[in-house]
Amino acid sequence: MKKKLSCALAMLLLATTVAGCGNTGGTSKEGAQSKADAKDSGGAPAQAGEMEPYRIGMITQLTGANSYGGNEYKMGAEVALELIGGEVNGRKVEMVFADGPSQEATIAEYERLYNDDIRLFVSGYGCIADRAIMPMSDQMEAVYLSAAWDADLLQGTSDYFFRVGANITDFAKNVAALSSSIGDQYLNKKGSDLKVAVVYNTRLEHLNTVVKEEFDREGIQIVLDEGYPGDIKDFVPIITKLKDLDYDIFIPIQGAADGIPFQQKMFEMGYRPPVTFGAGILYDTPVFGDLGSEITDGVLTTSYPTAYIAEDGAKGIKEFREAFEKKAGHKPLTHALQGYGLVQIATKILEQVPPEQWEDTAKLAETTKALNIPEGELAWYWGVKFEDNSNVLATQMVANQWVNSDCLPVYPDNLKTSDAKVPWSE
Amino acid sequence: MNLTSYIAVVINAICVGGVYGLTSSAWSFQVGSLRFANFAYGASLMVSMYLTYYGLREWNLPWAVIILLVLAANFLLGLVMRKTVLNTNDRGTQILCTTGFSLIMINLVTFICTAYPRNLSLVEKRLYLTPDISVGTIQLICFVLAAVILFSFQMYLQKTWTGRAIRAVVQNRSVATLMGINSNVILDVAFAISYMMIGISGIMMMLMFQAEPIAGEYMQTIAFIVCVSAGLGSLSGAFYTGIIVAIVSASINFFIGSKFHDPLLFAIFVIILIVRPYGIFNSKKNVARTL
Repeated sequence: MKKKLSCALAMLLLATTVAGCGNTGGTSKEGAQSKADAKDSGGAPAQAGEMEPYRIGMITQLTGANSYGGNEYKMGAEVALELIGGEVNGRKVEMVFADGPSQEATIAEYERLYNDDIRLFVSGYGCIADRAIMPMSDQMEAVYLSAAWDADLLQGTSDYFFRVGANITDFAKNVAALSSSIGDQYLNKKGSDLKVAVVYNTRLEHLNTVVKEEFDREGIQIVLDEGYPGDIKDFVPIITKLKDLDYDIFIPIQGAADGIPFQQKMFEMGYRPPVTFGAGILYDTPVFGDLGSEITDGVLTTSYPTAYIAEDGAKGIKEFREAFEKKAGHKPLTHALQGYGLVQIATKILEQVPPEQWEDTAKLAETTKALNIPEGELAWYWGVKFEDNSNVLATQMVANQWVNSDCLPVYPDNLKTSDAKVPWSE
Repeated sequence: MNLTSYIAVVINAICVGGVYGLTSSAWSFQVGSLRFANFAYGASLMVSMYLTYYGLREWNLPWAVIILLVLAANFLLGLVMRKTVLNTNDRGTQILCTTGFSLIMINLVTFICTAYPRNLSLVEKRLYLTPDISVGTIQLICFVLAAVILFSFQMYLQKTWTGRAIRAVVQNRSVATLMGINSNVILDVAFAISYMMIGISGIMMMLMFQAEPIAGEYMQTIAFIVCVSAGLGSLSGAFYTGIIVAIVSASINFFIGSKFHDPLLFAIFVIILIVRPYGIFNSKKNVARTL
């Protein structure tokens, strides 16, 4: 019996290994270029509609610990193509998704998709392997649009790798600047008189480090700087510490797995901070809103532009929101808008190059480098203009406030749909 | 920080520690007494949490049915594990097989339920002992239940025929067989019962925290620290050590900072291992006597 079981398991292992070897018919970089050459040299170019669909790759976390964010990226990307009818200048465009639950898996999938002739990539949720992919994209001559926010992501020059999204320094500056504005405008406290308490998941230590530097620059006092490991379950000691402290603004930097129970426990203990200013990640998501207005009302957040910014602030935001809700059956997270924005930019690049030349990756890269899209032109609000391969028009964050389980943008003026009420009282 | 706040933190920690203790006792029983190195423990706990969540929130079952469902599922899981991955006396094989089984369970749950945390969204009422000191009612009930269940299990082992048979097999399997006890069946039953304790722990954990596919890994670590510190096989010792570990954890978080929780907790664990290698509550090497 044992022998039979062992044999069966061994056969299963062998079968899955063989299946996982992937496309053995994949071509190399030279093969893809020769395809492009053949198209160029074979007489009259094919009509756009007769050409093979152009494929854009996205490797995102479809399984694993962050699959919810990864799937939001995927659905946002799908909506982006659906809203343009799945084609650009007459040629079909398709998304190819791959699962990258870990850095190693993401890199492996990148190589697999590259061998499958995909030459234009957008990053997935978390951008967990973008740092490793950066040098690879230059070597392999594949355009990569990254949403990673690491300040030192780009090492040296690059022809094919572009950081399209915000960077962490701008986000942290925004947290400090908005905290200062809240203190000044609503609490009558200037920078040095303002006291903040920061509680964060140590998984987000890299963000907290930059936030602390910005607070120091603004002269804001940090009376509590409490980092906790992600697997901690009992938040009573931390909340008890908060209760004993004298401070003005509570700044949580948390994800859903820890932020939700944290807020619930605070509510159960009957404690409400004077002002809560959540630094993105969780606090602008519908998941936080599901806690109920008793907990969420009045909470301020800062984040990337959400799907609920003013309709005249960003072109197409309303269409995105409606299309996404129809497709996914729930309101879009900010992650969905990120996925959507990345693919929108990819299609803008393709728009500027004749469809028969899309296989010329060098041309796509040049076009990407020269992109100039003003703020407000894309649904995610940010514009696109690269300096040293970093987008300098992805700096604007928004501040939101929860009111009756809705997350309403309250800053800046051109994107807000409501005015903030601080401090919150019923 | 003041004394009143610290007392509040300690009382809360005691309640949480009681559940840690019950959770760890089951593992201590499996590893120390039954001598099964079960590293699918955390994953099994996580599955129980998910069953509880789905029973309550998705299938809208009454509590009695949920409890029966979780207990039955865990009993069956325990039996299946005994017949498959734990059907060997080789510790190395047990560790490898149960670790593999754990990975299968975690990935299966991630695939079916996604990795999104599941929360019962229960708002726990607080019981105020003083205006500044309160304890969660759910946590308090779980603590009391954990103590009752563990005490009941001890009584079961001491007073019932099956319990005595389990103790006999744990002490000396060969002699127990000579005395007419079917050792394999008794071990199967004992292991399955310990899995029912995991099920109950899973229900309690779901009431107090939230479920995600990796939730069991943390509890497995806590159980490991608790059981080895208490002394493998010491059920009551595991319960008390669970409370001690919870208080120490809360104290580290309160006085020093949560960032230092893991390094300090593990440092204390290493010190305990050096000073009392057989555990705090074990004075002898023969852990079967603690049953």
